Parts: sequence; C-alpha cells; structure tokens
Amino acid sequence: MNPTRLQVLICGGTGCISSGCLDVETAFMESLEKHGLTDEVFVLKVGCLGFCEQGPIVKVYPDNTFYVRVEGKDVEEIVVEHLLKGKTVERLLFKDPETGERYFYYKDMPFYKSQHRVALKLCGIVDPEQISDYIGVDGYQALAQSLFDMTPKEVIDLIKASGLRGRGGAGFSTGSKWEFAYNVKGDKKYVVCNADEGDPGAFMDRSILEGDPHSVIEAMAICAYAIGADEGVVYIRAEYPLAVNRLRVAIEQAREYGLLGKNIFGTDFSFDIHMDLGAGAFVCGEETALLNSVEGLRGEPRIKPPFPAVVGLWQKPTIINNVETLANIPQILLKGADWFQSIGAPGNSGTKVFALAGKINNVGLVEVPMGITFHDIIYKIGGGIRGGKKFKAVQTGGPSGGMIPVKDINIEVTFENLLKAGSMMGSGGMIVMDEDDCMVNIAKFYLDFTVEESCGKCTPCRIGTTRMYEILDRITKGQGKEDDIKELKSLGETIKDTSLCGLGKSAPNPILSTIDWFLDEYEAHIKDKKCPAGACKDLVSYVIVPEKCIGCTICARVCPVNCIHTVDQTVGKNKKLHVIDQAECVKCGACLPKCPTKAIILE
Amino acid sequence: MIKSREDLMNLRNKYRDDVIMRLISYDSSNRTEVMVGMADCGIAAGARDTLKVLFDEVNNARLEDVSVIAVDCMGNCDNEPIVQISTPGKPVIRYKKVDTALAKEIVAKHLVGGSILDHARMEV
Ligand SMILES: Cc1cc2nc3c(=O)[nH]c(=O)nc-3n(C[C@H](O)[C@H](O)[C@H](O)COP(=O)(O)O)c2cc1C
Repeated sequence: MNPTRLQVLICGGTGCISSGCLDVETAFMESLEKHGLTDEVFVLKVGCLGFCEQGPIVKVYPDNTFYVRVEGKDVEEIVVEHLLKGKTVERLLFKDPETGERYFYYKDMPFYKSQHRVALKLCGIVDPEQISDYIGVDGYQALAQSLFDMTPKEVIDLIKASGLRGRGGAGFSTGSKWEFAYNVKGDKKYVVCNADEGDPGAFMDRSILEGDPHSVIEAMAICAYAIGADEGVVYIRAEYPLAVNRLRVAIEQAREYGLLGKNIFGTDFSFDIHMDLGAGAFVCGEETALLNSVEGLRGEPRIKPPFPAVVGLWQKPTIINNVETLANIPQILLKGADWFQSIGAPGNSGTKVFALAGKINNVGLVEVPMGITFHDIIYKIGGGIRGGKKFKAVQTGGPSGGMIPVKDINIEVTFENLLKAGSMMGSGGMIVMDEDDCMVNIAKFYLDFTVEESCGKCTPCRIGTTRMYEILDRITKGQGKEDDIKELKSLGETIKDTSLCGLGKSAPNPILSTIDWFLDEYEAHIKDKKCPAGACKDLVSYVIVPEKCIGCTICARVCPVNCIHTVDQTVGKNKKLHVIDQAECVKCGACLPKCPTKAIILE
Repeated sequence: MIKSREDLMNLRNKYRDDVIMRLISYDSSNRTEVMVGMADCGIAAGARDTLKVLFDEVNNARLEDVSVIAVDCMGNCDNEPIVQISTPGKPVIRYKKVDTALAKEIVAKHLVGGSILDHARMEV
C-alpha cells in the first residue's frame, strides 16, 4: 500500500462500539467514495483512546485533530470541510465544560496532559488486526534483541533493574518472579497471561488486548525465552468477545509470520500460545484458582507455597503475569531499564492504567505515572466531580480494596501508600464517590459481589461474608443494632486471617475501610435510623412541603404507583394540596426533580 | 515467513510507511509540520497539486519526522499556494506561490538540505 495523505482513526474499543462508532465508520466509507477520496484517505478502527465519556472519538492524522461524540450524520461535514479543504470542524472538538474552550490537539486537553502512555502506547496507533502495523512500529524487535543479543539471565536482570512490578494487584517484582522459574530445572515450563480481569468496572486489560494484542504476545515469548518455557496460555474471560477475537487473529498472524511456533527467527527457540476461555468467575483471576481452571478442575485456590513459579500448571514451573504487566515488557527491552526507572516514583517505576468511573466528569481509561496524586487524577484528568457536587472518597482495588477519603486525596499513588491508607492498588479500578453516595450502601455492594464470587472452599470466606452481608443489609434497612460495628470488625478480621486466598483475605476490606473513615455514617444508620446521603431507600421518605405545593398535579402524574393524592386543603390558585402516601411510596424518586416549586424533599 | 532477524528488519521497513504517520502524529512535539493552505483560494491557485508533490517528495526522501498537512486559508490569497514550515525550536518560514517545481525544491533544499529558499520566502 502506498501511504495515504490522510488517515482517519476511529476508536473501536468496546465502549465506542456501543456508542455507535460502527455507523461512523460506514458513513466515512460512503462519503469518501462519493467524493472520490478513497485513494487519499485511509480509514481504520483502532483500540481504546481512553476518553470513553466523549465517544465515539475520531482522530484525523497527520493534522492530529481530535473529534468527540461523532455521529454518522457529522461525517459528511468532516469529509467536505476538513479532509477536502483543511478546515477543522470546530463544533466537534472537545469543549471544556468549565472554561468553554475548544481544544484542537488532544495533547492540550486536560484529560491527556498529565497522562503518560506506556502500556497503552500503541493502543490507538496500530490496527490491532494487522500484524504488519505492529511490525512497522518495531514490533517483535524486542524479542529478536532478546534471542540474538541477550542470554535469558540478562533479560531477567534487565527486567529486575527496571523495577517493574506486577500490575495484577499484588505488585510483586516481575524480574524476581521470572528468576524463580528460571532457577528451577525442568524440561517443561509455562507462561500464563492472566486476562481474567474480574473487578467490577475495570477494563484496562480488555482495552490492551483489544487495541494492541501483539505487545502481550511478544512479551509472553520474551518471558518464555527468559525462563525456558515453550508453551503459553492466555486465560481470558469469554465475556470479552472482541478481545478474544482480536487476540485469536493476532495469534494466528504471529504464527503465519513465524513469530510463534517452531524455531523462531531460525533459532532453536520454539514457543506457541493458545487461549483458554474462562466463564467469568472473580476467583479464577487468583493465580492458583486460574491454574485449576485451566486444568479443568474447579476454580478453587491452591495452598501457597509452593508458588506457581516453582510448581504451577500441570505441576510445572509457571510464570503468571497480568496483561498490563506484560504490555510494558517489549518497551523496557528496547528502551532500557533506566528509561523505565525515569518514569514514576522511587520503588514504583513506570505507569499504571486506571479505569476511572463513578461521579466524575471524564469517565474513561487513563494511564498515569506512578506517584501522581489522587487529586491530579480526579481534578486534572477526571475534570472534577460531576454536577459540581462534593467529593467524598475514591474507591481503589475493587472488592478487595478500600476507600481513600478526602483527607488522603493528596497522597501519591504507589503500592505502599495505598496499603498504608487502608486500600490497595488492585488491578486499577478507580471509582469516585460524591456526597450522594452512602458508604454503608457501597460497602454492601462490594460485599454482595464477594458473597456471590466466593468459591466456597474456606468456611470463613463462604459463611463469614454472608453473615457480614446480612448485618450490612439490616443496617441499611434501619434495623441495625448497637453491637453491629463490633461484630463486623471481628468477623472481618477473622475472615482475613483464616482464608486461603486473596479473595477472602481482602473481601472485608471495603467494609473495614468504610468503618474506619466513615464511622459516623454507620452510626447515623444504626442509632438515628438515618442515611445522611439519602441513598438507603428504607431510611428516607419523600414528603411534600405544604407551604410550597401549588397543586399542579405534575408529581401525581409521574408517580408510577399512584401514591400521591390530594387532600382537602386549598393551595396555589384554588388547587388542592398533594401528599405522598408513605405506606405505598416505593421511593423511586421520580417526582423529586419534576416539582416546579421544589416542594418535594427527602427526609 | 520470518526466518531471521534480517527478515524482520526488512518487513519493518516495508510496513513502516503505513504506520509512521500515526506514530509521529501521536507524539507531535518533535515533528516538522509542512502546512499547505487549502481553502478555496489555495485550491484555485493549484494548492492540490502542490500538496500532492510535497507529500510524495517527503515520502520518497523518507523524512519520517515531517508531516504534510492541509490547512485553512492563511490570509494572503494573492500569494497562494502558500506553504508554511514549522520546525520545533526554529522560526516559522512561509513560502509564496508554491507551484509543483518550487515544492520539489523546498523538499530538497529546505527539508533535506536545511537551507531556506530566500527567493520564495514571504513575511509570516
Ligand atoms: C480474588 C483475586 C482475583 C484476582 N484477579 C486477577 C485478575 O483478574 N487479573 C490479574 O492479572 N490478577 C488477578 N489477581 C492476582 C493474581 O493472583 C496474580 O497475582 C497476578 O496475576 C500476577 O501477575 P502480575 O505479577 O503480573 O501482577 C487476583 C487475585 C485475587 C486474590
């Protein structure tokens, strides 16, 4: 193909597909055809560009224009004005909701300014379904460099020196882990990529696999060379059809090109990869439960030690690494340990990808240097709290993590600091809470998840989490008892101490952390039977203030259960006062925003 | 089928043209931008051909860190086609009445050779 003068990149991550990027692609094809531009303009779908809030996103290269919320009907204007005449379509540029400023270049946008893309670097640059693109940007050069210029030990030493730590949650040194497997003698070893990604709301691993699958394949091959493995497995959840498909295509293409298979680059190094689809159980992300699942056993954890690096898949030494961990490896090989160390914080080199969600303006996927503060992530990148509400806490580490309250918003995000603050890095979910979020209710939400996902092997985890859930449920229904907090703490500590795997060891964290930081909220529920955030339905009632009611009937008309009636009292212009029948009210809140005089309040 | 490190290198060079624009645009801080005014005035004066020649010549010379970009009217319609060259850390240079022959000269002397063509230069 001759290079074309213009390239139009359409974000084709799962998020943008659901907001309609496929229509945009079709519209471009039709419009380019109509204007005879098919030879001059190349259109392709790339991986997640991160700014999911504003999708579908369209980038025009080389101009570097970043269009947001593009719909099929906008495409003709882009083609005629921009592609033909070089005139940017300003109305489709991102507009800062606060300043009203429009941004021509994505690099100037606050959302991207503080980001640093390493693991996601090629997401949005390469066509994930064309190995040629990856090869064109130096893909598989790091593998060649390892095989021809370095001994396995040198590869391991380089990864150790880079300071790379596992991005799957625990933050263990990747180089040291590889060294364990390297040191075990054996004719058969495995490399496993953990793409289970079970945290609710997390989608960084999925995005990497959807946008740049070859980086992960190449990294697995490098790991295999370093530890002496010849077989690789990607354990990925079947609920990720697009990622599964792109990975399948990538593995097939790598085989066709001889980059997987026997005698890679004509050397005596052979390595191949197959995929193993998981059914989407959270516990199967835990490395030993994952191994059981691959072996066809129940997804239950094994006792450690021995660690998988020594006794792993089919009892053989096995390296299990997370997708994002692996995505960093080729660049570390090519650019060196010092380069990687130059990013991030001491002891926490490199970047971390976070899935930013919750009550924040810019929901999306962000990659930031380690050591950045929560404040910068939430206010600079995330654009602050939605609707100008008050920030309350940020949840990290998903069902295993905890809350970072306002007082800790300026701590630097590192593995150690998060543990100290009573949470953990986890795989990278970051959910922002505002004043309307009830901490007891949120704790209950996470516990509901772990109750469902506990594999049942350890009694404290299986039964203990259920008991904790029952207590929280009572509290949110106004039936809390004096001793409940003590009980929750004692159950929590016991479950943590006596469970085999990380699921049970961390399941009480969201509860213990909210008790630590938001004890007053628990007490308000238990003692005063009140939910200060107004989120626990059983503890709030919607009432109409008689002095404000004008009898307009709007509330009665939107009420789905017809529980708003009139009484014999005149209000407004000869109308009847409305009241809400508390016995029938389902607390849906439909009436609240509709009242023209704001007469409906939460009590 | 890649059988050696050289095979990989050859493929890299072959496929590079397709992706290099994306890589360079992504981190555009170090690239030289060659802008051609492509409003109606520019097009009427022949900017389309100028743009095409610039683009082809830049590719033939394998100037990876140079991007040729069509832009809106630069506000001096009598002198179209106008070409502006911005290289990071250097003053912005504008050339007037750039026909295809001049376009070739600009690539060879300015972009490759690094010397400014005084005879075609105009005020920025
Ligand atoms: C309950 C539980 C769920 C986990 N889920 C995942 C997961 O989805 N993805 C992942 O990479 N690691 C997950 N882990 C961590 C893995 O056990 C393991 O530490 C990780 O895959 C190692 O890779 P890394 O060193 O590259 O981080 C989970 C751990 C626990 C206890």
